[in-house]
Amino acid sequence: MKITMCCLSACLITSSSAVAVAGPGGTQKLLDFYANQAKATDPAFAGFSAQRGELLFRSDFSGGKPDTPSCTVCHTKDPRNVGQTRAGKDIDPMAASANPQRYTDQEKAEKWFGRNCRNVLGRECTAREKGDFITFMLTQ
Amino acid sequence: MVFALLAVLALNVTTGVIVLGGVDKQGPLAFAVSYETGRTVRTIHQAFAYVLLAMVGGHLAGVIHESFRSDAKLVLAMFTGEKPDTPVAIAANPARARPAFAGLTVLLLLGGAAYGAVAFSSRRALGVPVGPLDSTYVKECGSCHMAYPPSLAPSSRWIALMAGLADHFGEDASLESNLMSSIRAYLINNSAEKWDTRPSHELAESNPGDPLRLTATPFWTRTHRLIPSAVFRSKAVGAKGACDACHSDGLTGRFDPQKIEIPARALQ
Repeated sequence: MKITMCCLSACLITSSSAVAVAGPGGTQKLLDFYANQAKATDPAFAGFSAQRGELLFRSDFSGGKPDTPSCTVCHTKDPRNVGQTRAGKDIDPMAASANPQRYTDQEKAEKWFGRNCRNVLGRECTAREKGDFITFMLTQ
Repeated sequence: MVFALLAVLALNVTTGVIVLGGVDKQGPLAFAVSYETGRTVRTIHQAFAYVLLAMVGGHLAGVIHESFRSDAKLVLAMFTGEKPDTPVAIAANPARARPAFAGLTVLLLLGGAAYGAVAFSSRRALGVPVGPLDSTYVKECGSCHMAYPPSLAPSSRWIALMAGLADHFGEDASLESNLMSSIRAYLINNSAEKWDTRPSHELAESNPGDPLRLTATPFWTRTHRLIPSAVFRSKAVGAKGACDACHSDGLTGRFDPQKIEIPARALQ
């Protein structure tokens, strides 16, 4: 119960600040896209949370592919860093501050959430998880 | 003996140029010789290389023996053209030296040969992929790993790879179905069978234990066996599959032996 309360207040605080840090128009559109989806599946949806997004980014999961238990395997623990794929290719930073191109293209976001959620979590991410993730990256 | 030596030397040069053209797609005959021919001639080239080595050995042994036997300064004679103790009977009819004529002849021969070599070498090599890779392919497949030139795998391997994108070497690399079919068609239309490079022939043989992986093929393993695994793990290279980290022409599928340079940072 305590945890739920904590989460709830956290998401209320961060959702208001997320609007402030959301930079280009494309990013806000993308967040709105996920917010609408989240509301449609959960009427109690009360905004995205950077904390939940950070947890998603940093947690180890066991449901996905064995080589990629967490986002940080490829993206490193600091989202402002350049990451590296398992095949040796550089990955541009995930943090919006280090890479303003991020989170401005819905098609691209959907493609990579699709692949990488299945890789790391072994399932599709929910719209709320995607919004949380982006919200966290906008604070980085 | 000397003429036989020169003949074998000429044969070695000729077969060598054929091998270079056919196998590595370099040099004046790259436009004309197939990989298959290059490989066949390579056997002859190797055999004659040993013959040549034996003849060189015999020649040197002969020179040494003769030097001790007759006290003639044979090596010096190569430069002066004179053997002071040559019997008069053989030394008859001394030819008049015509350095200008000789120089002009040499210049014409060498110049003609050089011009021919350059002109032939600049012709398009037989069966070597040209031009950049398909931009959609590079965008979709080149985000996670180097966009492997389609010439690096036979169509059967591309078909199998494209059928298993949901578990692509341990990762989900699913593509939207229209994109998947167009990329699949591009790969099949440009697969190894369509080209005549060394990688397109040699990489076609799979490793039965890991049939889809380029870096598990017998050819790849054999040609990279001397490179320490730390090089592949280094930040500058990243992984075994990052061909273009060392092969500067890797993205074209050509893989010239001269275009290989392991980044200095990868060796530290």
